[in-house]
Formats: sequence, structure tokens, C-alpha cells
Amino acid sequence: MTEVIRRDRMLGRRKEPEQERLEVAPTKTEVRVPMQQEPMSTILSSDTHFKGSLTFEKALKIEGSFEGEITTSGTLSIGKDAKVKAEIKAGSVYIEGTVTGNVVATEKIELRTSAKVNGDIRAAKLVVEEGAALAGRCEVSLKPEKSDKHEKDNGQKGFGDFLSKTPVETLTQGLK
Amino acid sequence: MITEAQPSQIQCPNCLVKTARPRQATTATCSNCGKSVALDDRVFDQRYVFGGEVLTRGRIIVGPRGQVKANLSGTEVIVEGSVEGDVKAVDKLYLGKNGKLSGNVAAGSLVMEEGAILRGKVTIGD
Repeated sequence: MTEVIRRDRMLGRRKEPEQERLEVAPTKTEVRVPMQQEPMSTILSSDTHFKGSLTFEKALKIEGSFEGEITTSGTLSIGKDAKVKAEIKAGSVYIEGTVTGNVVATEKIELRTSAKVNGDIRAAKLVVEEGAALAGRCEVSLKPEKSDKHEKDNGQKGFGDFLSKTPVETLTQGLK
Repeated sequence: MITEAQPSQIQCPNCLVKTARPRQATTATCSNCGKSVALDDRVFDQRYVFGGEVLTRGRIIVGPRGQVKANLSGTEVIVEGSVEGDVKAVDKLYLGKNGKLSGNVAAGSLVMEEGAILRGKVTIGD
């Protein structure tokens, strides 16, 4: 009996390091996936027209039209033919279509070539491709987001001087 | 020096009338209002603060070491350093990944890399 127990212990001890090795070997692969290939849990397809407030956690792509409010900590993608009229608060936003309304992202906003945004933008990172149209107030800084209560106050204090000097109309006239 | 950014058609920043100019020219006089228009490229790549206004129909390049405090107006504006002031680019505004820009922005198109900082009112396109 004692011999058997000893053998079991021996075998058990031998097994332990093997199990540890198996646990240590998870593969870490961080690959930047292009927009089309991102895992989408939900898609509002091109024939959907949504009105109201929308909340989700992981990822959502809008290809139809949307009107209302979007709040999420995840990823929001707005497709090429999508028309969105909303106040957006998200983790990160990828825009290919038309957006009217303010966009706030805690991480990143990406504007693709076909994107058209009419509204204020606020994010930690902003990437804009050539050809994207953008009109509104823009605040991009790597500093952590302040609480939503102070949002309006900060905007007015920070840019008050610049904004009162030259209205957008005069600038656009200059371009034409 | 011939630069590609120089347009053959120049829009006078004063009266907004378009006139054709040879590509080699570095300055031109507007046929409508008679004011002179600079067409050369401007490069800022030193640690100084510049006041006033930079007005050219060529390129404006702010290098990674450049710190500019002025209103910039050009055909193409490239920002790799930091700029404080209003920026107007007729054609294209490029913000590099270490670029910092605070002020009102009006440009034909904007290219912005990840990490660039932008604060102010923005009008791109149309």
C-alpha cells in the first residue's frame, strides 16, 4: 500500500509542472484589424430605421438610419451609407457615413474617407483620412476624460477667445 | 526652385479672385486688388515663438521642433510641431502624429494621424 501511495505522489508531483507549462503558454497576438473584419455582434442593416436611445456593451454597426441617442462603452461603427442623427457617447467610434450630432469617445474616433460629421467632437485620439468632411468644435487630447458635468464649461473657457474672434462663416467664405 | 504645391491658379487671399500664374513665380500681384501675394514655401523648425501672421499661397511646414504662435494661411499646411493660432489651408492640412494645433481650422481636406492633438473649431471640406 505504502508503495502505491508513494508512486501516486511521485506521479502527481511529476504531473504538476506539466500542467503549469500548459497554463503559461497563452498566445498574445494583438493585430490591428481593419474595420470590415472587426467582430460585429450586432448590425443594424441598411433597411432599418431606428428612433430612440440605444445602449450596448461590445460592438455595433449601423448601416441604416438612426435618430436619437447612443451610449456605450464599446465600439460603434457607422457604415458608408448610414445616416445618423444622434448624440453619441462611446468607447471608440469608426465613421464612414454621415453623422449629425455631438460625438464623444473615451478612446478613439476614426473618420474614413467617406465620412461626413456635423457636430462637436471630443476624444482622446482622432484619426482622419483624406477626404473626410468635418464641421464643428473639436477637442482632441491625450489627457483623461473629465466628468460630463464640466463638459460645457470647459469648452467655453478653453476656446472662448479663439471662437469669438472668427466665426466659421468668415473662414468658409475665405475658402470659397 | 519649383515646388509641386504651388498652384497654377492662385486665389488672392485679400479679394478672393482667382488668377493664373506661372509655376516658377515666388510672388505675384493680384490683378484685381493690386496686392502682392507670396507663393513661396515657409518652413518653421526652430524653437521660437513667432507672432503675427504667415500668409502665402505655397506650403507652410512646421517641423517637429517648430513652435509657432501665429495665424497660418497657405495652400498646404503641414504640422509636425506645435501651432497656436488659426490655420487656413486651401488644399490640405496634415497633422503628424506629434503635431499639436490649437485654434480655428479651415481646410479643403484634413489628414490627421493617431496621437495628434487638435483643439478648436474645425471646418473641413465643402
